[in-house]
Amino acid sequence: MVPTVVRECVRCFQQWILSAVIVICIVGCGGGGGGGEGSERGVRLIHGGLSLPPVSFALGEPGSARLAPAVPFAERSVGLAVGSGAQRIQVFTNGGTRVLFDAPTVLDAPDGTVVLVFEDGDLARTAVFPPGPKPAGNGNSGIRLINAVSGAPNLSMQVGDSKVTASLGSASPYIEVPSGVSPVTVLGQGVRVTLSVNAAAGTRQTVLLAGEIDYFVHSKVFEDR
Amino acid sequence: MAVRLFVTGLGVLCLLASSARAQDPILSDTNGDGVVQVLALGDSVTYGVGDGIAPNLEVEDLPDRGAARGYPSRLSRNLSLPVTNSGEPGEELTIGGVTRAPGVIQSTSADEVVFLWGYNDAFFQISPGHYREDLQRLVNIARVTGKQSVLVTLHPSCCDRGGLTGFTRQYSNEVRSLAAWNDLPLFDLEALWNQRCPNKDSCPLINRPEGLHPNTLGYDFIGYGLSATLLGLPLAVPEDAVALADAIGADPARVTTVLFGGAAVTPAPATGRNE
Repeated sequence: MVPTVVRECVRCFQQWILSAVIVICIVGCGGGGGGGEGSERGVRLIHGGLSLPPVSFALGEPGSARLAPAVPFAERSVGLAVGSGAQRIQVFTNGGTRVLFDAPTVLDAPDGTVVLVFEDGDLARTAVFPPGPKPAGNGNSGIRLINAVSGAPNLSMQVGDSKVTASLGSASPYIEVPSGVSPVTVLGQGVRVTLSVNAAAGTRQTVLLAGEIDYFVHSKVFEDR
Repeated sequence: MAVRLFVTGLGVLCLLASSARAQDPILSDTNGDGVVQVLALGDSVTYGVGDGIAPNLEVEDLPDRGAARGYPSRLSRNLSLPVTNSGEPGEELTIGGVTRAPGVIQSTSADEVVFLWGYNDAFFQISPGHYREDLQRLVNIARVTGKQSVLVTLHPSCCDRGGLTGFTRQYSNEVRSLAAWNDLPLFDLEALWNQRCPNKDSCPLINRPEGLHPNTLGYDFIGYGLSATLLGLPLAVPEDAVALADAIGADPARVTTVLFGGAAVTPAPATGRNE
Protein backbone atom coordinates (compact mmCIF):
# COMPACT_ATOMS: atom_id res chain seq x y z
CA MET A 1 0.00 0.00 0.00
CA VAL A 2 1.35 3.39 -0.99
CA PRO A 3 1.50 5.86 1.88
CA THR A 4 -0.89 8.78 1.58
CA VAL A 5 1.93 11.30 1.63
CA VAL A 6 3.57 9.61 -1.38
CA ARG A 7 0.28 9.46 -3.30
CA GLU A 8 -0.25 13.15 -2.59
CA CYS A 9 3.27 13.93 -3.72
CA VAL A 10 2.82 11.96 -6.97
CA ARG A 11 -0.52 13.70 -7.62
CA CYS A 12 1.13 17.05 -6.89
CA PHE A 13 3.96 16.26 -9.28
CA GLN A 14 1.54 15.13 -12.01
CA GLN A 15 -0.44 18.35 -11.70
CA TRP A 16 2.73 20.41 -11.79
CA ILE A 17 3.91 18.64 -14.96
CA LEU A 18 0.48 19.11 -16.56
CA SER A 19 0.51 22.82 -15.71
CA ALA A 20 4.05 23.20 -17.00
CA VAL A 21 3.13 21.49 -20.27
CA ILE A 22 0.17 23.84 -20.68
CA VAL A 23 2.36 26.87 -20.09
CA ILE A 24 5.06 25.63 -22.45
CA CYS A 25 2.44 24.90 -25.09
CA ILE A 26 0.88 28.34 -24.78
CA VAL A 27 4.19 30.13 -24.83
CA GLY A 28 5.30 28.02 -27.77
CA CYS A 29 2.12 28.73 -29.70
CA GLY A 30 1.83 32.36 -28.69
CA GLY A 31 1.91 35.11 -31.23
CA GLY A 32 0.75 33.00 -34.10
CA GLY A 33 2.47 32.57 -37.42
CA GLY A 34 6.13 33.34 -37.39
CA GLY A 35 8.32 30.34 -37.36
CA GLY A 36 11.88 30.39 -38.45
CA GLU A 37 14.58 32.12 -36.52
CA GLY A 38 15.89 35.61 -36.53
CA SER A 39 17.74 38.35 -34.81
CA GLU A 40 18.82 41.92 -35.17
CA ARG A 41 21.88 40.79 -37.11
CA GLY A 42 22.45 38.92 -40.33
CA VAL A 43 20.75 39.21 -43.71
CA ARG A 44 17.49 41.16 -43.60
CA LEU A 45 14.72 41.82 -46.08
CA ILE A 46 13.07 45.18 -46.69
CA HIS A 47 9.65 45.21 -48.36
CA GLY A 48 9.24 48.17 -50.68
CA GLY A 49 6.58 46.95 -53.12
CA LEU A 50 3.34 48.86 -52.68
CA SER A 51 1.13 46.39 -54.52
CA LEU A 52 2.67 43.32 -52.91
CA PRO A 53 1.35 41.35 -49.95
CA PRO A 54 3.77 40.53 -47.12
CA VAL A 55 7.08 39.07 -48.30
CA SER A 56 9.28 36.43 -46.71
CA PHE A 57 12.70 35.11 -47.58
CA ALA A 58 14.78 32.02 -47.03
CA LEU A 59 18.50 31.40 -46.96
CA GLY A 60 20.04 28.07 -47.87
CA GLU A 61 19.13 25.00 -49.83
CA PRO A 62 15.68 23.43 -49.62
CA GLY A 63 15.52 21.08 -46.69
CA SER A 64 18.00 23.06 -44.66
CA ALA A 65 16.94 26.61 -45.56
CA ARG A 66 16.03 29.01 -42.81
CA LEU A 67 12.95 31.19 -43.28
CA ALA A 68 12.38 34.71 -42.05
CA PRO A 69 8.70 35.42 -41.30
CA ALA A 70 6.87 37.57 -43.82
CA VAL A 71 6.89 41.32 -43.40
CA PRO A 72 4.39 43.81 -44.81
CA PHE A 73 5.07 46.81 -47.01
CA ALA A 74 7.62 49.30 -45.64
CA GLU A 75 8.84 46.93 -42.95
CA ARG A 76 12.09 45.06 -42.40
CA SER A 77 12.41 41.41 -41.48
CA VAL A 78 14.41 39.88 -38.70
CA GLY A 79 17.94 38.96 -39.65
CA LEU A 80 19.14 35.53 -40.65
CA ALA A 81 22.76 35.02 -39.66
CA VAL A 82 24.93 33.06 -42.10
CA GLY A 83 28.58 32.73 -42.90
CA SER A 84 30.11 34.51 -45.87
CA GLY A 85 30.11 32.83 -49.27
CA ALA A 86 27.49 31.67 -51.74
CA GLN A 87 23.98 31.38 -50.36
CA ARG A 88 20.76 30.51 -52.11
CA ILE A 89 18.30 33.31 -51.49
CA GLN A 90 14.62 32.76 -52.10
CA VAL A 91 12.00 35.50 -51.76
CA PHE A 92 8.31 34.65 -51.56
CA THR A 93 5.04 36.48 -51.46
CA ASN A 94 1.33 35.65 -51.78
CA GLY A 95 1.46 33.44 -48.73
CA GLY A 96 4.54 31.64 -50.03
CA THR A 97 2.90 30.69 -53.34
CA ARG A 98 4.71 33.20 -55.53
CA VAL A 99 8.48 33.17 -55.86
CA LEU A 100 9.92 36.60 -56.54
CA PHE A 101 13.58 35.64 -56.46
CA ASP A 102 15.52 32.42 -56.32
CA ALA A 103 19.24 32.54 -57.02
CA PRO A 104 22.59 31.73 -55.48
CA THR A 105 24.19 34.92 -54.27
CA VAL A 106 27.66 35.53 -52.94
CA LEU A 107 27.51 37.27 -49.59
CA ASP A 108 30.88 38.75 -48.71
CA ALA A 109 29.59 40.39 -45.55
CA PRO A 110 26.27 38.79 -44.62
CA ASP A 111 25.83 40.76 -41.42
CA GLY A 112 23.98 43.87 -42.56
CA THR A 113 23.26 42.67 -46.08
CA VAL A 114 19.86 43.85 -47.32
CA VAL A 115 17.50 41.98 -49.63
CA LEU A 116 15.29 44.70 -51.06
CA VAL A 117 11.98 43.89 -52.72
CA PHE A 118 10.67 46.74 -54.83
CA GLU A 119 8.58 47.38 -57.90
CA ASP A 120 9.60 48.83 -61.22
CA GLY A 121 6.35 49.53 -63.02
CA ASP A 122 4.48 46.24 -63.17
CA LEU A 123 7.57 44.21 -62.32
CA ALA A 124 8.39 43.03 -58.81
CA ARG A 125 12.15 43.00 -58.46
CA THR A 126 14.70 42.01 -55.86
CA ALA A 127 18.11 43.51 -55.17
CA VAL A 128 20.77 42.36 -52.72
CA PHE A 129 23.34 44.79 -51.46
CA PRO A 130 26.04 44.62 -48.81
CA PRO A 131 26.28 46.79 -45.72
CA GLY A 132 28.14 50.05 -45.94
CA PRO A 133 31.09 51.06 -43.80
CA LYS A 134 30.58 52.17 -40.25
CA PRO A 135 31.05 55.87 -39.56
CA ALA A 136 34.70 56.65 -39.23
CA GLY A 137 34.50 59.78 -37.13
CA ASN A 138 34.37 59.45 -33.40
CA GLY A 139 30.88 60.34 -32.17
CA ASN A 140 29.47 60.41 -35.68
CA SER A 141 26.66 58.40 -37.24
CA GLY A 142 25.77 57.45 -40.80
CA ILE A 143 22.58 58.00 -42.81
CA ARG A 144 21.82 56.44 -46.18
CA LEU A 145 18.86 56.30 -48.55
CA ILE A 146 17.19 53.27 -50.11
CA ASN A 147 15.11 54.04 -53.18
CA ALA A 148 12.10 51.75 -53.58
CA VAL A 149 9.85 54.26 -55.31
CA SER A 150 8.55 52.80 -58.54
CA GLY A 151 8.89 55.37 -61.30
CA ALA A 152 11.69 57.28 -59.57
CA PRO A 153 14.91 56.34 -61.38
CA ASN A 154 16.95 58.46 -58.99
CA LEU A 155 16.39 60.07 -55.63
CA SER A 156 18.80 62.37 -53.89
CA MET A 157 19.12 62.85 -50.15
CA GLN A 158 20.56 65.94 -48.59
CA VAL A 159 21.79 66.11 -45.01
CA GLY A 160 23.48 69.37 -44.14
CA ASP A 161 25.83 70.17 -46.99
CA SER A 162 26.18 66.56 -48.07
CA LYS A 163 24.19 64.97 -50.83
CA VAL A 164 23.97 61.39 -52.08
CA THR A 165 21.90 59.67 -54.76
CA ALA A 166 20.22 56.29 -54.92
CA SER A 167 18.88 54.77 -58.10
CA LEU A 168 15.74 52.65 -58.02
CA GLY A 169 16.39 49.44 -56.14
CA SER A 170 19.66 50.53 -54.58
CA ALA A 171 21.14 52.18 -51.53
CA SER A 172 23.17 55.34 -51.46
CA PRO A 173 26.47 55.60 -49.61
CA TYR A 174 26.18 56.71 -46.00
CA ILE A 175 26.46 60.37 -45.22
CA GLU A 176 28.49 60.78 -42.07
CA VAL A 177 26.84 63.23 -39.70
CA PRO A 178 27.31 64.26 -36.08
CA SER A 179 25.18 62.17 -33.75
CA GLY A 180 21.83 63.60 -32.75
CA VAL A 181 18.91 64.84 -34.79
CA SER A 182 19.61 65.55 -38.45
CA PRO A 183 17.10 67.15 -40.81
CA VAL A 184 16.95 65.11 -44.00
CA THR A 185 15.46 66.06 -47.36
CA VAL A 186 14.84 63.53 -50.12
CA LEU A 187 14.18 64.90 -53.58
CA GLY A 188 13.34 63.44 -56.95
CA GLN A 189 11.03 64.15 -59.81
CA GLY A 190 7.63 64.35 -58.12
CA VAL A 191 9.10 63.48 -54.71
CA ARG A 192 9.91 65.78 -51.84
CA VAL A 193 10.11 64.29 -48.36
CA THR A 194 11.51 65.99 -45.30
CA LEU A 195 12.07 64.20 -42.04
CA SER A 196 14.28 64.16 -38.99
CA VAL A 197 16.61 61.28 -38.25
CA ASN A 198 17.80 60.80 -34.69
CA ALA A 199 21.03 58.83 -34.73
CA ALA A 200 23.14 57.85 -31.77
CA ALA A 201 26.91 57.97 -32.06
CA GLY A 202 28.38 55.04 -33.93
CA THR A 203 25.07 53.93 -35.45
CA ARG A 204 23.95 53.79 -39.06
CA GLN A 205 20.47 54.68 -40.21
CA THR A 206 18.63 53.79 -43.41
CA VAL A 207 15.95 56.08 -44.78
CA LEU A 208 13.61 53.97 -46.90
CA LEU A 209 11.40 55.64 -49.46
CA ALA A 210 8.90 53.19 -50.94
CA GLY A 211 5.80 53.39 -53.08
CA GLU A 212 4.89 54.69 -56.50
CA ILE A 213 5.71 58.02 -58.03
CA ASP A 214 2.76 60.43 -58.35
CA TYR A 215 0.61 58.06 -56.29
CA PHE A 216 1.80 57.23 -52.80
CA VAL A 217 5.27 57.45 -51.26
CA HIS A 218 6.03 56.41 -47.71
CA SER A 219 9.19 57.03 -45.72
CA LYS A 220 10.55 55.04 -42.83
CA VAL A 221 13.80 55.08 -40.88
CA PHE A 222 15.53 51.89 -39.79
CA GLU A 223 18.57 51.59 -37.61
CA ASP A 224 21.15 49.35 -39.26
CA ARG A 225 23.17 46.90 -37.22
CA MET B 1 2.98 23.88 -3.18
CA ALA B 2 3.55 27.55 -3.87
CA VAL B 3 5.30 26.72 -7.13
CA ARG B 4 2.46 24.39 -8.12
CA LEU B 5 -0.13 27.04 -7.43
CA PHE B 6 1.89 29.64 -9.31
CA VAL B 7 2.36 27.46 -12.37
CA THR B 8 -1.24 26.29 -12.32
CA GLY B 9 -2.43 29.85 -11.99
CA LEU B 10 -0.13 30.97 -14.76
CA GLY B 11 -1.44 28.21 -16.97
CA VAL B 12 -5.03 29.21 -16.32
CA LEU B 13 -4.23 32.87 -16.91
CA CYS B 14 -2.45 32.03 -20.14
CA LEU B 15 -5.39 29.90 -21.28
CA LEU B 16 -7.80 32.72 -20.49
CA ALA B 17 -5.59 35.22 -22.26
CA SER B 18 -5.26 32.90 -25.22
CA SER B 19 -8.99 32.34 -25.57
CA ALA B 20 -9.69 36.03 -25.07
CA ARG B 21 -7.24 36.89 -27.83
CA ALA B 22 -8.93 34.48 -30.21
CA GLN B 23 -12.25 36.23 -29.68
CA ASP B 24 -11.01 39.75 -29.29
CA PRO B 25 -13.12 42.31 -31.08
CA ILE B 26 -11.41 43.96 -34.00
CA LEU B 27 -12.53 47.41 -33.02
CA SER B 28 -9.88 49.38 -31.26
CA ASP B 29 -8.76 52.96 -30.92
CA THR B 30 -5.60 52.43 -32.91
CA ASN B 31 -4.76 56.11 -33.26
CA GLY B 32 -5.38 56.81 -29.59
CA ASP B 33 -7.70 59.78 -30.14
CA GLY B 34 -10.22 58.43 -27.67
CA VAL B 35 -12.81 57.54 -30.30
CA VAL B 36 -13.22 54.34 -32.29
CA GLN B 37 -14.22 55.28 -35.80
CA VAL B 38 -14.80 53.33 -38.97
CA LEU B 39 -14.36 54.38 -42.59
CA ALA B 40 -16.43 52.48 -45.16
CA LEU B 41 -14.85 52.60 -48.62
CA GLY B 42 -16.45 51.26 -51.74
CA ASP B 43 -18.99 51.82 -54.48
CA SER B 44 -22.78 52.04 -54.67
CA VAL B 45 -23.22 49.02 -52.40
CA THR B 46 -21.34 50.91 -49.70
CA TYR B 47 -23.17 54.14 -50.52
CA GLY B 48 -26.48 52.35 -50.10
CA VAL B 49 -28.13 52.48 -53.50
CA GLY B 50 -31.29 50.38 -53.33
CA ASP B 51 -31.77 50.95 -49.64
CA GLY B 52 -35.24 51.85 -48.43
CA ILE B 53 -36.92 49.36 -50.74
CA ALA B 54 -38.82 46.53 -49.12
CA PRO B 55 -38.31 42.92 -50.18
CA ASN B 56 -40.69 41.51 -52.75
CA LEU B 57 -41.14 44.81 -54.55
CA GLU B 58 -40.36 44.55 -58.23
CA VAL B 59 -37.49 46.85 -59.08
CA GLU B 60 -36.17 47.21 -62.61
CA ASP B 61 -33.80 50.15 -62.18
CA LEU B 62 -32.44 52.17 -59.32
CA PRO B 63 -31.35 55.77 -59.15
CA ASP B 64 -27.60 56.20 -58.87
CA ARG B 65 -27.95 58.25 -55.75
CA GLY B 66 -30.26 59.08 -52.96
CA ALA B 67 -29.30 59.67 -49.40
CA ALA B 68 -26.16 57.79 -48.40
CA ARG B 69 -27.08 55.03 -45.97
CA GLY B 70 -26.58 51.32 -46.71
CA TYR B 71 -24.59 49.13 -44.35
CA PRO B 72 -22.50 51.96 -42.84
CA SER B 73 -25.55 53.46 -41.16
CA ARG B 74 -26.49 50.03 -39.76
CA LEU B 75 -22.95 49.50 -38.54
CA SER B 76 -23.03 52.84 -36.79
CA ARG B 77 -26.36 52.05 -35.17
CA ASN B 78 -25.44 48.49 -34.20
CA LEU B 79 -22.09 49.36 -32.68
CA SER B 80 -22.85 52.90 -31.48
CA LEU B 81 -19.84 54.44 -33.13
CA PRO B 82 -19.23 56.89 -35.96
CA VAL B 83 -18.99 55.33 -39.40
CA THR B 84 -18.12 57.46 -42.42
CA ASN B 85 -19.81 56.39 -45.63
CA SER B 86 -17.27 56.84 -48.43
CA GLY B 87 -19.07 54.84 -51.07
CA GLU B 88 -19.02 56.26 -54.58
CA PRO B 89 -21.75 54.91 -56.87
CA GLY B 90 -20.49 53.71 -60.22
CA GLU B 91 -16.86 53.63 -59.15
CA GLU B 92 -14.52 50.78 -60.00
CA LEU B 93 -11.84 49.88 -57.48
CA THR B 94 -9.27 49.64 -60.24
CA ILE B 95 -9.93 53.02 -61.83
CA GLY B 96 -11.53 55.68 -59.66
CA GLY B 97 -11.26 53.88 -56.34
CA VAL B 98 -7.55 53.23 -56.29
CA THR B 99 -6.99 56.88 -57.13
CA ARG B 100 -9.50 58.37 -54.71
CA ALA B 101 -8.93 56.14 -51.71
CA PRO B 102 -5.37 57.09 -50.65
CA GLY B 103 -6.41 60.67 -49.96
CA VAL B 104 -9.50 59.55 -48.08
CA ILE B 105 -7.53 57.07 -46.00
CA GLN B 106 -4.80 59.54 -45.14
CA SER B 107 -7.21 62.31 -44.20
CA THR B 108 -9.50 60.27 -41.98
CA SER B 109 -9.20 59.82 -38.25
CA ALA B 110 -10.84 56.42 -38.54
CA ASP B 111 -9.22 53.44 -36.88
CA GLU B 112 -10.72 50.77 -39.10
CA VAL B 113 -11.22 50.87 -42.87
CA VAL B 114 -13.78 48.53 -44.41
CA PHE B 115 -13.25 47.70 -48.08
CA LEU B 116 -16.20 46.41 -50.12
CA TRP B 117 -15.51 46.99 -53.80
CA GLY B 118 -15.64 45.38 -57.19
CA TYR B 119 -19.18 45.29 -58.58
CA ASN B 120 -18.38 47.88 -61.24
CA ASP B 121 -15.04 46.21 -61.96
CA ALA B 122 -17.07 43.11 -62.74
CA PHE B 123 -19.08 45.08 -65.31
CA PHE B 124 -15.83 45.89 -67.10
CA GLN B 125 -14.41 42.39 -66.58
CA ILE B 126 -11.28 43.67 -64.86
CA SER B 127 -8.89 40.80 -64.28
CA PRO B 128 -8.87 39.37 -60.75
CA GLY B 129 -5.11 39.90 -60.57
CA HIS B 130 -5.48 43.60 -61.30
CA TYR B 131 -8.26 43.81 -58.72
CA ARG B 132 -6.07 42.06 -56.13
CA GLU B 133 -3.08 44.31 -56.69
CA ASP B 134 -5.09 47.49 -56.32
CA LEU B 135 -6.82 46.27 -53.19
CA GLN B 136 -3.41 45.31 -51.78
CA ARG B 137 -2.16 48.84 -52.53
CA LEU B 138 -4.97 50.29 -50.43
CA VAL B 139 -4.44 47.77 -47.64
CA ASN B 140 -0.76 48.74 -47.55
CA ILE B 141 -1.57 52.44 -47.51
CA ALA B 142 -4.07 51.92 -44.70
CA ARG B 143 -1.53 49.97 -42.66
CA VAL B 144 1.33 52.44 -42.95
CA THR B 145 -1.06 55.24 -41.99
CA GLY B 146 -2.07 53.37 -38.85
CA LYS B 147 -5.41 51.94 -39.89
CA GLN B 148 -6.69 48.41 -39.58
CA SER B 149 -8.19 47.08 -42.81
CA VAL B 150 -11.29 44.91 -42.79
CA LEU B 151 -12.02 43.06 -46.03
CA VAL B 152 -15.43 42.01 -47.29
CA THR B 153 -16.19 39.54 -50.08
CA LEU B 154 -18.82 40.44 -52.68
CA HIS B 155 -22.39 39.17 -52.54
CA PRO B 156 -23.56 37.35 -55.66
CA SER B 157 -25.75 39.16 -58.14
CA CYS B 158 -28.82 37.65 -59.72
CA CYS B 159 -31.59 38.05 -62.23
CA ASP B 160 -30.87 40.85 -64.72
CA ARG B 161 -27.27 41.11 -63.52
CA GLY B 162 -26.61 37.47 -62.78
CA GLY B 163 -23.79 37.51 -65.33
CA LEU B 164 -21.61 39.51 -62.98
CA THR B 165 -21.32 36.66 -60.54
CA GLY B 166 -18.54 34.97 -62.50
CA PHE B 167 -16.28 37.93 -61.83
CA THR B 168 -17.52 38.83 -58.35
CA ARG B 169 -16.86 35.23 -57.30
CA GLN B 170 -13.26 35.52 -58.51
CA TYR B 171 -12.85 38.86 -56.74
CA SER B 172 -14.16 37.29 -53.55
CA ASN B 173 -11.53 34.58 -53.83
CA GLU B 174 -8.89 37.29 -54.17
CA VAL B 175 -10.27 39.06 -51.11
CA ARG B 176 -10.04 35.85 -49.09
CA SER B 177 -6.44 35.35 -50.21
CA LEU B 178 -5.51 38.92 -49.30
CA ALA B 179 -7.13 38.55 -45.88
CA ALA B 180 -5.10 35.40 -45.26
CA TRP B 181 -1.80 36.73 -46.57
CA ASN B 182 -2.12 40.01 -44.69
CA ASP B 183 -3.63 38.46 -41.57
CA LEU B 184 -6.64 40.76 -41.81
CA PRO B 185 -10.17 40.36 -40.51
CA LEU B 186 -12.57 39.14 -43.18
CA PHE B 187 -16.34 39.34 -43.42
CA ASP B 188 -17.21 36.62 -45.91
CA LEU B 189 -20.39 38.22 -47.17
CA GLU B 190 -20.51 35.97 -50.21
CA ALA B 191 -20.48 32.80 -48.12
CA LEU B 192 -23.07 34.08 -45.65
CA TRP B 193 -25.25 35.32 -48.53
CA ASN B 194 -25.04 31.96 -50.29
CA GLN B 195 -26.07 30.25 -47.08
CA ARG B 196 -29.04 32.60 -46.70
CA CYS B 197 -29.98 32.52 -50.38
CA PRO B 198 -29.28 29.15 -51.97
CA ASN B 199 -31.66 30.16 -54.76
CA LYS B 200 -30.33 33.49 -56.02
CA ASP B 201 -33.31 34.33 -58.22
CA SER B 202 -35.67 34.34 -55.25
CA CYS B 203 -33.30 35.91 -52.73
CA PRO B 204 -35.21 38.34 -50.50
CA LEU B 205 -32.06 40.36 -49.78
CA ILE B 206 -31.64 41.91 -53.20
CA ASN B 207 -33.68 44.17 -55.43
CA ARG B 208 -35.17 42.03 -58.17
CA PRO B 209 -35.03 41.83 -61.10
CA GLU B 210 -32.42 44.62 -60.91
CA GLY B 211 -30.22 41.97 -59.35
CA LEU B 212 -27.21 43.87 -57.99
CA HIS B 213 -28.09 46.19 -55.13
CA PRO B 214 -29.34 44.93 -51.80
CA ASN B 215 -32.72 46.14 -50.57
CA THR B 216 -33.45 47.26 -47.04
CA LEU B 217 -33.34 43.70 -45.77
CA GLY B 218 -30.09 43.07 -47.64
CA TYR B 219 -28.41 46.08 -46.08
CA ASP B 220 -29.66 44.95 -42.67
CA PHE B 221 -28.07 41.59 -43.45
CA ILE B 222 -24.72 43.14 -44.37
CA GLY B 223 -24.86 45.43 -41.33
CA TYR B 224 -25.44 42.55 -38.95
CA GLY B 225 -22.80 40.39 -40.58
CA LEU B 226 -20.16 43.07 -40.51
CA SER B 227 -21.05 44.01 -36.94
CA ALA B 228 -20.43 40.41 -35.91
CA THR B 229 -17.06 40.44 -37.67
CA LEU B 230 -15.97 43.65 -35.98
CA LEU B 231 -17.09 42.33 -32.61
CA GLY B 232 -15.19 39.09 -33.18
CA LEU B 233 -18.36 37.02 -33.04
CA PRO B 234 -18.94 33.96 -35.23
CA LEU B 235 -22.00 33.74 -37.49
CA ALA B 236 -22.25 30.11 -38.47
CA VAL B 237 -25.50 29.00 -36.87
CA PRO B 238 -28.70 30.76 -35.73
CA GLU B 239 -27.55 30.65 -32.11
CA ASP B 240 -24.71 32.97 -33.12
CA ALA B 241 -27.29 35.51 -34.27
CA VAL B 242 -28.78 35.50 -30.78
CA ALA B 243 -25.37 36.25 -29.31
CA LEU B 244 -24.92 39.07 -31.82
CA ALA B 245 -28.33 40.50 -30.97
CA ASP B 246 -27.41 40.39 -27.31
CA ALA B 247 -24.14 42.19 -28.00
CA ILE B 248 -25.72 45.01 -29.99
CA GLY B 249 -28.95 45.26 -28.03
CA ALA B 250 -31.20 44.15 -30.88
CA ASP B 251 -34.22 41.86 -31.06
CA PRO B 252 -32.81 38.31 -31.25
CA ALA B 253 -35.74 37.02 -33.30
CA ARG B 254 -35.31 39.70 -35.90
CA VAL B 255 -31.52 39.36 -36.16
CA THR B 256 -31.87 35.61 -36.47
CA THR B 257 -34.53 35.91 -39.15
CA VAL B 258 -32.60 38.48 -41.17
CA LEU B 259 -29.42 36.42 -41.10
CA PHE B 260 -30.76 32.90 -41.30
CA GLY B 261 -34.28 33.24 -42.70
CA GLY B 262 -37.36 31.60 -41.33
CA ALA B 263 -40.38 33.60 -40.38
CA ALA B 264 -41.51 36.58 -42.40
CA VAL B 265 -39.45 39.63 -41.67
CA THR B 266 -40.60 43.17 -41.27
CA PRO B 267 -37.66 45.34 -42.31
CA ALA B 268 -36.57 47.93 -39.87
CA PRO B 269 -36.83 51.46 -41.16
CA ALA B 270 -33.63 52.45 -42.87
CA THR B 271 -31.64 55.18 -41.23
CA GLY B 272 -29.06 57.36 -42.85
CA ARG B 273 -27.03 60.41 -42.14
CA ASN B 274 -29.26 62.51 -44.40
CA GLU B 275 -32.51 61.31 -43.00
